[in-house]
Amino acid sequence: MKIVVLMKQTFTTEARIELDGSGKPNDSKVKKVVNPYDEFAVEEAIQLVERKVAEKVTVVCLGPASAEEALRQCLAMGADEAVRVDSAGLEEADSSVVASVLAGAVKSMGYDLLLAGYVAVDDNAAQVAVRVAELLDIPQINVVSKLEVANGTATGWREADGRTEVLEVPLPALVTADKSLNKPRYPTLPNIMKAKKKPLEIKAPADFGINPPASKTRVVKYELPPPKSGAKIFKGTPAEAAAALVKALREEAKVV
Amino acid sequence: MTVEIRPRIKGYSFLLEETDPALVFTPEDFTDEHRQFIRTTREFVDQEIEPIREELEKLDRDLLKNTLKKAGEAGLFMIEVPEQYGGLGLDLISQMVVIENLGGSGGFAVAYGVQIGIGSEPILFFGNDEQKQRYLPRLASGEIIGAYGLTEPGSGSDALAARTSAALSEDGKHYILNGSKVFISNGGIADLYTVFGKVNGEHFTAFLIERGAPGFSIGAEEDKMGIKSSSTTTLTFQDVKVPVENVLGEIGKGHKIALNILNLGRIKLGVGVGGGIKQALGRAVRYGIQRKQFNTRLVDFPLIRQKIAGMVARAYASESMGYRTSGDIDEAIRAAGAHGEPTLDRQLATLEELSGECAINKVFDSECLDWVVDEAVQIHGGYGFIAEYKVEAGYRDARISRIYEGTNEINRLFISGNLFKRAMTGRLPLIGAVQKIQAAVLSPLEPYDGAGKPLADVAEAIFNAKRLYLFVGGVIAQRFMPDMDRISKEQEALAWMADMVIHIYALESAYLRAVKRIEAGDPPAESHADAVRYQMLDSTAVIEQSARTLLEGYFADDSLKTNLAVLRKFAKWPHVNRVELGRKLAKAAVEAEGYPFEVVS
Ligand SMILES: Cc1cc2nc3c(=O)[nH]c(=O)nc-3n(C[C@H](O)[C@H](O)[C@H](O)COP(=O)(O)OP(=O)(O)OC[C@H]3O[C@@H](n4cnc5c(N)ncnc54)[C@H](O)[C@@H]3O)c2cc1C
Repeated sequence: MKIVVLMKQTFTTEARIELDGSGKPNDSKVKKVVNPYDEFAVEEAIQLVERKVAEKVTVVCLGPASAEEALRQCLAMGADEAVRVDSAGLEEADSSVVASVLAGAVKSMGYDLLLAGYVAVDDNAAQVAVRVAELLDIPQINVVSKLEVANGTATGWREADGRTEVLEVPLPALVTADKSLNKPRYPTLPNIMKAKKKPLEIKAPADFGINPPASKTRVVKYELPPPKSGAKIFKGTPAEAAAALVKALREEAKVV
Repeated sequence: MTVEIRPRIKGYSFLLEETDPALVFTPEDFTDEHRQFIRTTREFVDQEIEPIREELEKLDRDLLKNTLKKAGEAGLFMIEVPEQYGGLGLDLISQMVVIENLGGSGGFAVAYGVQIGIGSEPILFFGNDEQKQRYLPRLASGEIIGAYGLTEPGSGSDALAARTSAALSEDGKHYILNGSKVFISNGGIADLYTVFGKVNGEHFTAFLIERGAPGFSIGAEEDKMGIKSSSTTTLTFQDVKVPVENVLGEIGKGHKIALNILNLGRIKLGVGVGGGIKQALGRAVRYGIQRKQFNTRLVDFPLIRQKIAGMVARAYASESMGYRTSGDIDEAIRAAGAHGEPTLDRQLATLEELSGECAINKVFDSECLDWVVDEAVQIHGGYGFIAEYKVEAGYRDARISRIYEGTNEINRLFISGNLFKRAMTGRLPLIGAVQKIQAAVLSPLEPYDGAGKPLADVAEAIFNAKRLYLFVGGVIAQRFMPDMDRISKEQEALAWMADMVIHIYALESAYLRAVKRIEAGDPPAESHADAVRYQMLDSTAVIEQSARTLLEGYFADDSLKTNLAVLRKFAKWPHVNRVELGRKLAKAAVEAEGYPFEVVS
């Protein structure tokens, strides 16, 4: 069984975003990482190989050359191969475009199971993975906190309002990860070294016969969130702190 | 053996020439692989050490061993061990990124440092193939833990005066060891001990002793001021039979092992300490952001900002210096190995060549750390005095670094003594340089040509500091010529000259890094320049004060007056507004919520 993981390189969640002269988030100044939700997907894929459910994990990322560091990290965690689809000319592309490129790429690469984080922490759109599944016309289970794969089916558990839903779909299918799915490993030093020898291919959309469509949305403007006012910590026993909090919400914040 | 080393990689040559910034390794030059190593090390600290920090502080040996095992699983012990013995055989920079990022972990960092350093390097560099096969793979994996026993109750700084004795058994199969060691790190948890003793009370020799050998006992844990999560015990040998196969290196050549291992130990300690500096700085800044007095964040008080600026400048200088030296060592080893594998002999010769720089790192970093943890406590106010706050342990943990790997006094004596020896034997063309300076003093000084250089004001200060050093060092050395032995008794002269050398190297390392940033056109280059200038204020003050004190100590009357007049000619530093500069540099740290030159998220 072959697993393909969709991965995006994102800002770190602690990154302090600044806007550049043209009003866009300043890319060069912030440090980037594997989107944390995609890390759960990579971890799950590796565990499926370790449990001998799957044979091979390929990680694919649409991004610039700098995304290769993130792909190397996935390889160091244990993925077998990586593909970077070059994003040149697609820097402004929206989720629909990204999804169509990725769908085309994984289609020609071949897969039995697609894994991805359910959301990327930078734009919080939660669009790409679900669109890929739609474009490929395969079933999907989203935001899973537990996954089992056996006998040509994938079973996913997901937390819904006050209950857990269990969904079963036939493979090939797409599953997106929630943060409770697993605890991603950090790569060991020897695996970091071994990852250097693993294949990392660089492709253009055209290599997969894809001609990226035009974006369906347009960013009108980026704005930074208003500066946060200081947090307040209520000390004392939990009961005292709760009482003080309610009082503050009533009298100071006037929200209850 | 002699090794051809490229000119710029000659030890102490920085005193005699300018270094091309392009040839200096800086943290901004980290590769993707370095960044991954850093992330893994930080993940290890966050996941395996931080959650059990308090338990580790109580020194539960099983917990410590277990945590070391996990470090082994992450491959953290494999860094230096060659691939053929189960390691990764990384170059020094790659080792350093791991060491630095574990450096803030108090006693655990000590246990780790011993395992990868003095616990395994004696075998790595001096073991025969059989010994390496037997121990290195298990040390690299963490299956066994190493320790190193040199210090004795009666011999610390004077380590070669050890009294532990070894006598060959009648059948010639064993050495019988008697004696004791004190303050042995990992003593209570190790499986393998490299121990020094004297064969027939005379020939200083290293032995490999395994835990459990009959007659070998391990004492109780010392109750220490800091690094409490590390194990420190005495070792006692009562007629311990050590198989002759366990002699490490040659009989009577133990000093070679002890001295060579020190060089690596010092630079690694320095870089590890650098990790502690950045950690304390980060904690102080984050605390100061969240704590308000007089309705103002602590970090917004100018006096607090100046403290933060001092921390940043020290962290910057220490980091720049550690990676500069490590990069030079790597390059010298590569150059030495250009016609074949860099053999262990060549590696040792390279380390010896740069032994002065290794000692400089050790002294500067350990003293910066002490200053930084002290101010970190101060920024925390009363809370800094309370064990619940991590800076309290950081303060206590820092203190040991000035004591082991050679006390800072011993290291200062070494820095100057070693330099003089090289000058006298012509290994370092110091005398010619001194003569040139002395001739130049007689006429109006040749101005520094900094035209078109970035940070030309700093470059000029460094240029002047070097001239001042050569002048002062020269006139003092001449006082004792031709009997150079006498100068070794002038400890003040040696130590205060060492202070000048240390600050020249630290300031220049920071400067070279900043120039590299400016030339690369990096946006935060301005902060780099601020850090260098702040360090320049402190370093030039030490340099000038040391020079003055030296002249006043060794000259009187007219000759003192003449020499002080020369001092004034050289001691020309640019005017810097510390008020503004400090506030600005601290602002960068407050915005970054810690060290502003962090290169990995
Ligand atoms: C926690 C801890 C862990 C340690 N781990 C190890 C280990 O794993 N293995 C090991 O072998 N050792 C270890 N040591 C020992 C350490 O290396 C020694 O303590 C150190 O070398 C100093 O020796 P000493 O304590 O005997 O002090 P001394 O040598 O007695 O020095 C006392 C003071 O006199 C000064 N002094 C000494 N000689 C001179 C001189 N010639 N000129 C001027 N001043 C001088 C020193 O600088 C110092 O200030 C450890 C020590 C500690 C505290």
